[in-house]
Amino acid sequence: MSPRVDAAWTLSPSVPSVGPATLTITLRGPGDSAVTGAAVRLEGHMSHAGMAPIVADARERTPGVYDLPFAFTMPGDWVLLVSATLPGGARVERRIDVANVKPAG
Amino acid sequence: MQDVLRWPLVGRVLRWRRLRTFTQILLLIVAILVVAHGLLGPDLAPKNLATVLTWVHYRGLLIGALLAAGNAFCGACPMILVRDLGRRVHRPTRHWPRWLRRKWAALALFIAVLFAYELFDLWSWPAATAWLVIGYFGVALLVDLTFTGASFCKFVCPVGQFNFIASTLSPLEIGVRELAVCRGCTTADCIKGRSAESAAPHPAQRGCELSLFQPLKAGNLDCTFCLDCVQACPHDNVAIRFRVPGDELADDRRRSSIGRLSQRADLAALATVFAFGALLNAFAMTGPVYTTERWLAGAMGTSREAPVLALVFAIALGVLPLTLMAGAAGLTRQLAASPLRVRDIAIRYAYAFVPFGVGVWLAHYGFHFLTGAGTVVPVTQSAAIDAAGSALLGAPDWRWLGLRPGTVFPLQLGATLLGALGSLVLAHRISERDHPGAPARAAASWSLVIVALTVLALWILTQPMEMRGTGLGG
Repeated sequence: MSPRVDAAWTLSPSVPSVGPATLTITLRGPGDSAVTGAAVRLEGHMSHAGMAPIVADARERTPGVYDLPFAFTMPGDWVLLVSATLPGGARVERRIDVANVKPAG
Repeated sequence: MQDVLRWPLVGRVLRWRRLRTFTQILLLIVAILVVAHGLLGPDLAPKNLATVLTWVHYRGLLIGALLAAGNAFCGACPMILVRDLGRRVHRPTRHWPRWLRRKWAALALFIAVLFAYELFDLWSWPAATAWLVIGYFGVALLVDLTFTGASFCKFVCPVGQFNFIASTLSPLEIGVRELAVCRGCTTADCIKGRSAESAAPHPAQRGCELSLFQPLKAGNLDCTFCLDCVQACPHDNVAIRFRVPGDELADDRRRSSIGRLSQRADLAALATVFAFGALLNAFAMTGPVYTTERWLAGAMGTSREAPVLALVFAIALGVLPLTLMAGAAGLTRQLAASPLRVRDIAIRYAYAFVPFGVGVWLAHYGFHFLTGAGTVVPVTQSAAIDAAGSALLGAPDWRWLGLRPGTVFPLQLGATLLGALGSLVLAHRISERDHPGAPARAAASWSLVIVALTVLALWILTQPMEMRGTGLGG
């Protein structure tokens, strides 16, 4: 994690279940300035090896705010790995543990 | 008799004296990779070779090899290679205690491994998986540097016991080519082996370390497919032959070093736990298990997983099979007017559960392997980056997977149903053997149990999978 960039996140819905979800990453630089133009990518894995992962690329909704729409494909524990490549080439990474994704419905 | 050892190319490979060492070295390298990456690599299971190779590939390939050929993974076991190296330094002199020469200890360890797998979510924990592998090697060394022969394989190793039971369904079996040749044999090298001094003109060779004397050997139980007997026989009288899978489970002849199956309560218990353990292990990966655990936790007034899981295990591997088998055996005794005790009837029929168990294990392990076989590619690429600091093997693409779960589901159904069919046939075969006057009535209750277990297995397979590593899963 770059010390100069803060990556905050929110997950919607906040109680996730199998189906569509959106991870929003907010990148802030020194002085709380928005970090724009980053290439943000999501890689999601289940806690068990061999399961289908999630891969998604972000779109920048507003300056410094990146939406990653994806879908949880199975109930259980997920680990979301977010990597952001900043315009200068620096890389910011964050691991988000999402426990107990509910079955659909 | 079709002898695979006499096939043109395959036969030569199988007879190669260094084949076992070669395959053991290959698996030892894999084990070293598993341990190294498990301890030093990422702690995320899908990105670590320890969890991917152990829980996706090893288990799938193991059950596949057992059903396609024989107990190949015991034959190639790297723990025995390390043990052999250890015995060059320290030669054991003690014999395995007589009072432990049954499968009870191994059965307890088998249950303990299944329990630890669920309690500690080993499938989601690379470091723990690595320590499990280290533990296996350590115990194998400790046992076999203390006791002679293959004491670890025969009386301790939980994976070995799984393989022994499943290998009764293998299409291949090692046995003598012509019994008449054995009758004229005076050296019994197949079990005694040959020392360097007495060997000429043959090379020194050990005999069967699991005490299986070829002329009296029947079936695959306790056979590690090490092929020591093939190498040892000076008369070239040991074959790898095809046979009817599962047939040996209805064969109650006295077997070398095993005796009669009908007199082995420990083996019957192992066969039963093997079958019911298959159901439990598959059930533990579905959503309803968490509902069940939470309900039990509430009833027990605890929030700890261990006592809840212990109760689930006690019910699934103890109360349920004992109740079903006692009931079925009691009905057999009544309906077929059997002179046997209920306990003895239950022991005789316990082996009928094995094909069903193999079917469920195959459905479960086969699912993980077929849907996740490709994941080893990006994980290996990622491991190379971790080790070398650059993408030596290319950048990992995490979308490498395998077949879609929907594609595998019909195969899972087929495996389960085929296994159940095998169990039904076996129950009838055992009835014809033990109750020739009323085989259909004798088998009726067992058939009912097998059908009920099959319905349960099919229900489990249709449940949504739910992978958690968070205890009771709140």
